[in-house]
Amino acid sequence: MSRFTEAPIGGAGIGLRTKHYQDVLSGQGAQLQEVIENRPPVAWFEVLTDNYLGTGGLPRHHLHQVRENYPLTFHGVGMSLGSTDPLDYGYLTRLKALIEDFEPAWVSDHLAWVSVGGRYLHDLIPFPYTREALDLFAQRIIEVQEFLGRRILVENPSTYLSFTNCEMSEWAFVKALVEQADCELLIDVNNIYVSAVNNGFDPLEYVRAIPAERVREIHLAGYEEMGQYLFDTHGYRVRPPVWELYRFVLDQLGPTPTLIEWDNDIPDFSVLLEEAAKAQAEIDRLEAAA
Amino acid sequence: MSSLRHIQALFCESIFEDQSGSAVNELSRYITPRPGLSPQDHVKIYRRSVLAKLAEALSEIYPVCLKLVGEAFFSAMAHTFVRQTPSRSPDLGEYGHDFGDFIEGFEPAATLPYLPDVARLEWAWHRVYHAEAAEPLDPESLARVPADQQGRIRFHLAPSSRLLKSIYPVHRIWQVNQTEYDGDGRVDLDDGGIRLLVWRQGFDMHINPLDEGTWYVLKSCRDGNDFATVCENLEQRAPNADISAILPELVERGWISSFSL
Ligand SMILES: [Fe+2]
Repeated sequence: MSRFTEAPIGGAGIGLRTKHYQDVLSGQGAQLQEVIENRPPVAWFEVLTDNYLGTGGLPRHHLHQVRENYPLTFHGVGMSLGSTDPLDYGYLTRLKALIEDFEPAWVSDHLAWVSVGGRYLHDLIPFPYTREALDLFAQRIIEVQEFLGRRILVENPSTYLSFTNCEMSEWAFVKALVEQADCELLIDVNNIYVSAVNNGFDPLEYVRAIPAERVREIHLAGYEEMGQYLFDTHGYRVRPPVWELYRFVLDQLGPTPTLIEWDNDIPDFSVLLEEAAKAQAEIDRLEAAA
Repeated sequence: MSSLRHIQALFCESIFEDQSGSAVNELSRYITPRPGLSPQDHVKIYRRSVLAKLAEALSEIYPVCLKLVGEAFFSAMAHTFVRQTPSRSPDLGEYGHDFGDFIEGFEPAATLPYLPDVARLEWAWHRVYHAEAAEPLDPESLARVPADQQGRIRFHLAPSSRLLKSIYPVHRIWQVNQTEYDGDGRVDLDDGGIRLLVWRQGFDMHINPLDEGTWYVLKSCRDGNDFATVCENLEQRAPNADISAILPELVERGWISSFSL
């Protein structure tokens, strides 16, 4: 029996950011007050786990207050699943304690690596989609899942390059991976669109190949036009072509919990609520049609 | 070495390497060029993103330093630091502890001699903010220690506390540069040195200036000395201070939160 609200994850959620807490301490905390005191109608919040790795402190205190009223999901980059380093069990141990403390509905990381040789880049770096990488990636997920005692979700990142030595497409890699590792998926629609434009593939072909039964969550965010490429800034409203692709994804997958991510130039909370409402309307439309 | 490991090592080198670009040039043969973007350009997108993320982490930990030198200067200083200082932990909150030491050797910042200590104060604040809260020390358990063992007691500072000393009034510099501060903005650098404790009481952050006696007791405890040695140190450093008055106050305030024998 959970100590917290047992509301299941459904509909449109919002990515919770520590900046909201820090603003509170410096006296500009409209957003945290919004979340903790006004309890806005948000279906759930997604937490960036790597910001709560300390054993105590104020961030965890604030998160406990949020958890009193909302279901949570966990999202991180620190597993470094594609790395050729050994798994960082120090990190996994801290993550496991955090999971026990907050009881998230699920835990996700990325189809990428963030560290090698003990150096952390804190950024999602792609890798060539090869058999070698597939075996390594699957093996590491299996070990992580065993250690955490639960399945994890893997999310497709935005990529800004492709490797000459790939043996398969990203979507073929993803499909093989979920089978081999028995993991689940978080599909970032913005990332599919950004990667498709940057690397010249058809986003619809990617979406058609997604194993629908494995998808637990969708991400939406706003990219930035950089001239020669698109950059996954997470600093804008969701762009029109991404909304369009989102509708196509929903038609493929059925109603799926969807999260609005916003990391840079974080706007008024009302803007986040508007974006979430748009996603919710798409999910509702689908449910009404069913 | 596996080809994947080789590519990852090259990628990491490419992020931090200097102008020579030898790693990125080798990495380039694994990367598909696109119209208008060479393989090197592709890697540059990641290089910029990684370095900006690390520099951004510094600007969040060191907002007063940023305010003192301005955005452009801070960004240049942070990028210099970041290029020579890879992160070694998945927790970005552990990154940048030696930024103060770096600033001390950073030539362009030499005109602001107090800046390294302001940075050290901000680091202390940052770590205290994230530290575990401690239960207060139970005075009764202390009273139960037999008299002949008291000299062997080692007192421990609360994990949510940090000591800091400067020849500049850095607590004043810190204070007048807080967003919500609206008092007198002048700081006299000749106010002299300061000994500080940054600490947290429950969920409230504090910076307290310390008198000499309190400072030496806390410092000596922090350095792992037993109580007899702490008293000796105090006798030498601050002969007028009275340990029998200082110690109960430290316990009362929660600055000392546990002891061991
Ligand atoms: Fe995402």
